[in-house]
Amino acid sequence: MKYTLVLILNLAAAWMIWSGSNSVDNPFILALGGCSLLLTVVVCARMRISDSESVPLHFSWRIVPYTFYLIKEIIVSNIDVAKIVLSPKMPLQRTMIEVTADHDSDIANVVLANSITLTPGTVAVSMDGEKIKVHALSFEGAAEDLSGEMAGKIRKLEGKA
Amino acid sequence: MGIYYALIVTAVAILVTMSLAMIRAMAGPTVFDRVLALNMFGTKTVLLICVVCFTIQRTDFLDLALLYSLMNFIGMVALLRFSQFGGFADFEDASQSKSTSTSGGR
Amino acid sequence: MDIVVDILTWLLLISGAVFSMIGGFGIIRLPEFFSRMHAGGITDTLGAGLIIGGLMLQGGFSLVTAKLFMIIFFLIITSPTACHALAKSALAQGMQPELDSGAPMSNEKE
Repeated sequence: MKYTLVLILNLAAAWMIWSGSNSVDNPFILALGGCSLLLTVVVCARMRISDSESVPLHFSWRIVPYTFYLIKEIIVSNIDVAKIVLSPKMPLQRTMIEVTADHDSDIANVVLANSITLTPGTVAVSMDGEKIKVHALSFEGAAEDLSGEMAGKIRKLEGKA
Repeated sequence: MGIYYALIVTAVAILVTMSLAMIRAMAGPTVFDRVLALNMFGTKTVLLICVVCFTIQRTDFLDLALLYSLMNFIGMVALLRFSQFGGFADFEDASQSKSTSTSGGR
Repeated sequence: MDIVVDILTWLLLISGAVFSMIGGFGIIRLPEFFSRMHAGGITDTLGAGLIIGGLMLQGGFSLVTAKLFMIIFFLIITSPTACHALAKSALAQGMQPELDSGAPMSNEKE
């Protein structure tokens, strides 16, 4: 129930952002928004997809410190990759590693794999079971992923540690 | 001093990046290089629309940027599905005989 | 106050432009497909983020900033997904990445 409520709030906010002043001035456009909102909620209820996976409410406020951590990681690894690209010799140290993703929920594993891909220098190539195969551009980036720092942060994001 | 010139410089830099991506899309050699370059081209299109919106002071065009970003993603996933099941004959040729790949602009 | 915002916008826009050009050079210079993916990642994350951040400063506290925020949100969500789909289907079609190290490492111990 609370997932559906959050879904309704999100959809209403999206409609208001994209229609802007048109909705405020014109009741007809507001009514159109209401109709499409209702249709979307009914379809989502019939497909049974409004659950903790599509609306990860259990992350709650802990998503904010994780976002800042992710931004810091993105900036640091971007500068590393930019150095590799710009240096005349291009000191490539390509390697393939396997990172363990043993979180309870699938959504946490997906967040880990997507965060690994989002930081340049490492790309999650395939994922079977609890193993994520990662292609890394330098040994340092690979070692950073292997150290399990990001996995620890995601455990914190889930509220487990 | 306004930010007009910063916007112009950024737009030119984005255009340079787009042409570099286009060069890679034409050079290949595999179909995945082309798809990667096209994806980058699409992302740059979104940024170019945002910057041009601010240059000509018409910020309602930002809706187009969002549309492009979603279309770019869906288009790329569709292309990858097609390449997995439909099969591009190009890929076989390019991966096996890199030296003789003359089919540039396909 | 205005001048500070303008200077910050200049900084963000120009550094974003530089980062996206670096990504563009990377996609040309790097030797094979799996390394080029990383160059695409630069332009999608920091290049896009800095440019849109600079525009957000100009937008101020308004609907424009909310729209820009939605755009960067969708880019951040879709870009790694697209990158992963690309890498996975390349592997599935039998492309092997060139590696500089011998055996694959892994963190079995814990």
